[in-house]
Amino acid sequence: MGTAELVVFFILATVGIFSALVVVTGKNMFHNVLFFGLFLLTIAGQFLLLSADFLAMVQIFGYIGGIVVLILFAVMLTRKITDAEVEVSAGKGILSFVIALLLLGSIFYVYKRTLFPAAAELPKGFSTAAIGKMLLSSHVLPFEVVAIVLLVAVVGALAIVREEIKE
Amino acid sequence: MTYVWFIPLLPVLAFLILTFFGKKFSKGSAYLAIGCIAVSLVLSYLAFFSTLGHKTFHQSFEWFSIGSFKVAVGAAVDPLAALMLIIVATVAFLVQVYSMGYMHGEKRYSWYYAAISLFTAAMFGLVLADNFILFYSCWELMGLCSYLLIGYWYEKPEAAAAAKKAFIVTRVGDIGLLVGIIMLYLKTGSFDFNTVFASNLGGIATVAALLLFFGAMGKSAQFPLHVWLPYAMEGPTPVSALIHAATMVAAGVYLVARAYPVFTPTALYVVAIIGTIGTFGAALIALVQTDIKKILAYSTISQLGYMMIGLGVGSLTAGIFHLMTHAFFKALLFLGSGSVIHACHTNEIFEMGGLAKKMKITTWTFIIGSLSLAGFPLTAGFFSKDEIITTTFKEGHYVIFLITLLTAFLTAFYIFRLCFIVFFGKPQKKAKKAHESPSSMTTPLIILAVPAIAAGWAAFSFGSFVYFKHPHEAEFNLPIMAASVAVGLLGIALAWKFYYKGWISDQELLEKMGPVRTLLEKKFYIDEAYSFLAHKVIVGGICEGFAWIDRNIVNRGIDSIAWFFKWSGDEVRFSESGELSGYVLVAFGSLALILIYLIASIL
Amino acid sequence: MTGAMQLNLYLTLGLIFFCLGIYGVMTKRNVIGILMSIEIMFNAANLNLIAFSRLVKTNFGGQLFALFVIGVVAAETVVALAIILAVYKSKNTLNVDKINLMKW
Repeated sequence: MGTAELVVFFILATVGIFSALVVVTGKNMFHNVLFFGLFLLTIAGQFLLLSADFLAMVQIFGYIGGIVVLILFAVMLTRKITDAEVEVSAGKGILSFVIALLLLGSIFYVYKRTLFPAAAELPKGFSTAAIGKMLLSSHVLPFEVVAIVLLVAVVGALAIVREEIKE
Repeated sequence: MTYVWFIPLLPVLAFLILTFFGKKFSKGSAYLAIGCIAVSLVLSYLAFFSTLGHKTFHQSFEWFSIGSFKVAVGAAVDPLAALMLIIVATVAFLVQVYSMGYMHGEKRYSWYYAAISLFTAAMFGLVLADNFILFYSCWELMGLCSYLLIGYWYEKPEAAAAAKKAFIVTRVGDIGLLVGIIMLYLKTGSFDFNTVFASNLGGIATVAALLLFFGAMGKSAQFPLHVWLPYAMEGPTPVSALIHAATMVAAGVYLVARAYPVFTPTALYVVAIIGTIGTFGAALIALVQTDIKKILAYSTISQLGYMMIGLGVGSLTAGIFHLMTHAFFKALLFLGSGSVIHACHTNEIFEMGGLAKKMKITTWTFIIGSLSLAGFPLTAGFFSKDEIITTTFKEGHYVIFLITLLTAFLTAFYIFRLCFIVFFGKPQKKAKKAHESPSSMTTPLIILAVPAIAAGWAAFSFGSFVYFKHPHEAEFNLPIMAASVAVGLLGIALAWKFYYKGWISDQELLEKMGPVRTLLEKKFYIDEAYSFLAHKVIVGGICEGFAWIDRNIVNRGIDSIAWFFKWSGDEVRFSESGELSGYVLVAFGSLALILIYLIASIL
Repeated sequence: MTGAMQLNLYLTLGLIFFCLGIYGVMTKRNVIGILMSIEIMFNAANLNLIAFSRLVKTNFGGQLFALFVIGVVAAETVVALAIILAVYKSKNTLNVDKINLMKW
């Protein structure tokens, strides 16, 4: 990795961590959602750094363009005038922090101790074509299944929401 | 002599029939019971005369066994048993005849005869028993019948309470008896009389003997378990005559006599001491009693003390001899008192008086009984009492000797006090309408008067009939005889002076006695002591203590276990609280812990 | 910079995001906030996948996996939001503590 890549990585990392922090600790839902979008953007950037161009695009179009919008809608639909969000009890907060820290520490330790095999050379060309080929040949089954899952999800969501509307 | 088995069985039959079909019989129930006892009576005399001819009988069957533990049912007739048989049979028969008149018109008439039959059967069984288990069973059965009969008029709360008291106090004694029996069994491996008495008991003999005696103390109303007997007078008078004069109270004496081989000199000494205390104390209390039956009750306690003294100083013959004479004259006295009560409808002697003119038979038979009790020369009581007094002197127990003499004086005094107040003097309110009792009641009185006098003449041969280890020569120690006669006559004379001649009235005498009078009237506060013991100590102290332990410690223990489960449930409920954050917390927390645990192994 | 160090970098970053997501899930009261925290966790996982794909086994398998992950996540988010909306309609609150039918 060249220096430029490193710098970009760190910038993206910083922004990402900051955004995630805001999402996780923030009180204002709108801000949370927006920062969530920012976070997703930085992830997309990381993907690009890792030569996953197709996925980066999918991230941006699908995640940010779809899910963030969806969440935004949900937030707007469930907005209350008095948006008093009860803070967690101090005990729970500290406990959660400790647990998260413990997890962090332990898994990090595992990483440190593990010797991952090094990679060969870089893959050739853009990934889009390769992924597309794989999707329709060797991984066609998961592809179809995911498609059905999405279908079921949409139908299910409609079903859930529809009953409410009937009232 | 196989017929002896029928002696207890016939009354049992009467009991069973009367219990189940008594209602149909009503009047006839008396005849059924009396019929059965009459047959038993005849058989008893037959057995007795066989024994006189030096025949004994022993037959035993196995009743049941649990593994190697065998229980047998057996009948053994030896001179002692045969004597007891005729005593019991005679008195029981006469009492049952008497009851026809006394209990006339009572409701539950047939039940009365059923209970008396059962009691008689139990007493026969006791006398004939050849092993401790059978003996103890009959012993307990008698206790039960006593309870039933004392509480015959159970509508009266005093009667019910008296029955309970009798049962409970004798039960206390029975515990000692049972422990004694078990001790003997553990040592000798058998309940059979012959086996136990023949074996070497070593060190436990004294303890076992004293335990057996403890049971005898209960049944024979020895100090301090005597408290039930005066209260037992709540029962019908024939019951008092049978159970509390002649038979059941004699069972304790019989037990000591039967188990004589077990009694070490130490144990016998204790028996004598207890007898002495009882005889003297009871005589004192009898001096101030005003209820005719209570006087006789205390007299019984006193005379039983005499018997125990006799046994205790080493003369089985003397004790049993007195048992026999006492059975007759005491039954006579009780039945006589029953006649008086029946006529005057009261028990209080100061409400009677001058009955001699109106109830001739009762009066003179009663006086005969009193003379016998007082030890008037040539009566039965004279011979038997004398034998005991002589033995105490002979065996060197001088203190006991003096006390027996003193008690003889008191005995004569109190019984003639009774006689003079009841039969002579001016008739008091209740006595005015008195008339002689029916023949069903007076006939037994007359019949009993005979052995009350004559039984004493058996003194000459008694010693060779009933004895322990070797025949007992009839001893006549003239100076002692003179002393006891003198003492008896003195008592009679003093009573005559006080009550007949009216030297001092009873009231003045009591006032002169001052504080002593209260002591005696309160029966030495023994009842109060028991009440205190029972209520404050046992119930208040021990029972309360255990109740406290149960409430606080046991209950708290159980409660804390329950509380623990509730608490843990409360805590665990957190996992099902429905709070999402809670679930998540637990989930991730567990994950973290598992990870750390796994990593720790490669640390 | 060696491949291992590079990998470590990405993995650590992913781990940080993951733990942030966990913290958010345990902490947030707002249901949608929790949802977003879960999304962060998913993205962290994806990052790991892609990193491995690029730096360890380079056959686009990781990227494919990540693609499927995005697809499934999308489906799940849709359903979750539908449920959230339905719950909001009946309970009129998004506070996860209050959406509790249990007694205690």
